[in-house]
Amino acid sequence: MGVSDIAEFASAIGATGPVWIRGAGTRVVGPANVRAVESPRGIRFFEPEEMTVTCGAGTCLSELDEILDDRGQYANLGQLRHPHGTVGGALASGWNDQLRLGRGPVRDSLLEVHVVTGRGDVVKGGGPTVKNVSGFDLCRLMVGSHGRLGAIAEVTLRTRPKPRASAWLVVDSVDGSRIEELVGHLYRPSAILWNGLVCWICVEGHPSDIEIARTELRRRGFASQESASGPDLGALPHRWSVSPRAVFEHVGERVGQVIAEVGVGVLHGDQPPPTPIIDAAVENIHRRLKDSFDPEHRLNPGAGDILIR
Amino acid sequence: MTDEVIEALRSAIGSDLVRSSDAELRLFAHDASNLVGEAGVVCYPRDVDDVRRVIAVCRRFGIAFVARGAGTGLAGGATPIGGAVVICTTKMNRILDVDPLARLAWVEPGVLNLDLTRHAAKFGLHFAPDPSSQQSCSIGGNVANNSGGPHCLAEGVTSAHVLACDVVLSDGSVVRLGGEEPEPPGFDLRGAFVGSEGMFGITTAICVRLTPDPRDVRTMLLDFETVRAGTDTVSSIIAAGMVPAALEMMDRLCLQAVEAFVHAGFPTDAAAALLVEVSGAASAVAADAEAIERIGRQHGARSVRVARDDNERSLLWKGRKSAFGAIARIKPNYYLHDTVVPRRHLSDVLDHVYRIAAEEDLAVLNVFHAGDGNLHPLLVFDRREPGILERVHRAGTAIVAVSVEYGGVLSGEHGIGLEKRDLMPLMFSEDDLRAQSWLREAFDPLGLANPFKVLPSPSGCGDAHAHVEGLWV
Repeated sequence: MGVSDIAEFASAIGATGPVWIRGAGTRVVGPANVRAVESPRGIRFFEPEEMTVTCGAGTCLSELDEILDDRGQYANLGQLRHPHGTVGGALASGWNDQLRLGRGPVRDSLLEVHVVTGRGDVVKGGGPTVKNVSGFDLCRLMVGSHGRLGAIAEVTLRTRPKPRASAWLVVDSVDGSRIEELVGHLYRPSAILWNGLVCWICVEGHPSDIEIARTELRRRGFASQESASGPDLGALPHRWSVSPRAVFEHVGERVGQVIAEVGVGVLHGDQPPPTPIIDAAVENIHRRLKDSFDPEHRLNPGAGDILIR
Repeated sequence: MTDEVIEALRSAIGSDLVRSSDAELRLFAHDASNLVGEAGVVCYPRDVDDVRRVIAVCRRFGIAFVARGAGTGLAGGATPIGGAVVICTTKMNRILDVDPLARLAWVEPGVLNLDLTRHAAKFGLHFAPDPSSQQSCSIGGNVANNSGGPHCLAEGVTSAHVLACDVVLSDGSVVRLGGEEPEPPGFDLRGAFVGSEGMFGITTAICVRLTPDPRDVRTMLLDFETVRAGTDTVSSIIAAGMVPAALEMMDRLCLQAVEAFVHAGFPTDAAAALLVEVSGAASAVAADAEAIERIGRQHGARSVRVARDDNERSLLWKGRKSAFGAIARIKPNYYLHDTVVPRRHLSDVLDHVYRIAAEEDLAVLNVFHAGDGNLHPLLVFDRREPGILERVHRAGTAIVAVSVEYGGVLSGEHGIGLEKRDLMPLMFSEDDLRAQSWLREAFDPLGLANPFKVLPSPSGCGDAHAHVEGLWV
């Protein structure tokens, strides 16, 4: 399917029967008994001076990254956590990566979206410019909705200049009594991860500023070593979020077993997170949204099924 | 408004918090736009319980309510229609909590934007969205309009800085949308709520992200012989991989008005000037400032003035932010527009703006957020001139239409409100608008929260659109 095929995509989705929107299948694989439809793919428009890119949702993240990288830009779609898959999958899941502290959440990357609702209509939300308050924000509604309200067909994304340089600095012997002091000395790092003993800090920007940050840390008694990457989270497959105020306590209770994204509030652990409690009024809003956008509940059945039962 | 309703409101929150004098109703019949509606009664809740009580009365009598902060909105979003109950949040103005380590704050909706930044200054933090009205606009209003400001080019608009909103819905329930935690389960209802122009419910507490003050700042003024040289400089700066903290442009008429007002040494003979600010870590600031000066000179900048100290920096910004006050020296009335166009079309669209104004024999000044393509043409006029309002209206409509034709959008930061409600079909199909109405109905199935705004009939709540006096595009 090509980039101009939003209508064809809508036709393939139709207006009845369960449908699974298949990306690269790197995050979630749909049920075998549900008809799968692939999203349009390909870059439709990229002008570096606009800092926007328009592409089909089925476009591979690697293809997008390559084209933007050639012009010194990137789109923040959580690639550090999940470098593969499709643009649509990254947005539908809304998965953020470890650089959220500096780069912001994935949801802030989406400027305009074309989706196919469960009724089979093509609906546009947002606009193609980097700034826009025309109408209600359907873009943010779609990010992280797991395709349950609409199948993402085509998107316009905000891009950013790549940092001139970046480095991971690892500081040992940072216990609960020192972490707050360390955080207080850092100027806008892109990530701070901490397990109660070791702190991994990602700093991005001008090479001289990175060196200044490193020197400043050393002067304050936080000697660091450079690392090729952040911590290996492979042994900590579970992830949940708490208030950024609460991470110190969580890590303090399970030193070495939990890695926290300090300043953000994401925790990575080896145990399943507690089940979130959903307020009944919030659940009602979800239900009404689902019933309007997908009255037959046929889009991506079971995906991200936290609230919609 | 019937006496019965007013009495019920007085019983609910206290007589002194419910006002219905003619003077007060006239004052609250409009926001900072030219659009005048009709306020039925004005309530001043002190807290979430008062808001719930007022909304319960509205629900009981089937009367619409309109949330209002400082009333600085420019699109008629807070203009009450048909005698709606105005819920004014000015008494809910407490900063509830600031956590400098987690860099977040909880505030009530009536807290003024600049007051939060002043409060956070002792921690080396600030609230990044900085509308030109930041001295007087409320954070509740910023949330309703997803407000921007000059420094939103690099930092993002309000939505990027709101973590959670506690909201009273029209059915009386109180919900927390979003949360201090970064990834609450379910749909991003927080994101949907920000920018909903008071049509989803009323926020009673807002959790915002605070931003560290920059380590270093460089503020520069570059002036040009042509507008196009200025806009080409903007595109080249962005294409070179820089996102300055702010990238503002003023044209000649604006420079002249501002200079007469603030005496900051703005070049009054230039066709356009760019106010550029870079901020952040020291080496990056120095490198970006040098590159921007070089790019400006490549595009024919006549001079590059770098602010030597905070005083000079403040003076340059005072000029930029007081442009609207300066305009009173030219004509007594103005109509401020707000559209966004792709940066590469800034010059072409500005040419159209000048042509449109000339065709209607109107003076136009341009002062705008060039970095994100957010135009703010100011049509200045004297409303006592016969037939002038029709000409201003025609010019405004043409400016919006040409912006959309060039791939732009209806509004960058003022919102749709009443002003641009009927222009929504320029950007959105019936299906698009229907989806937006589903979103609204999910929050407010009763249709009591600020009806008649944003969505043109029949995509709105299906009510007949009431008449509003005034000037809008």
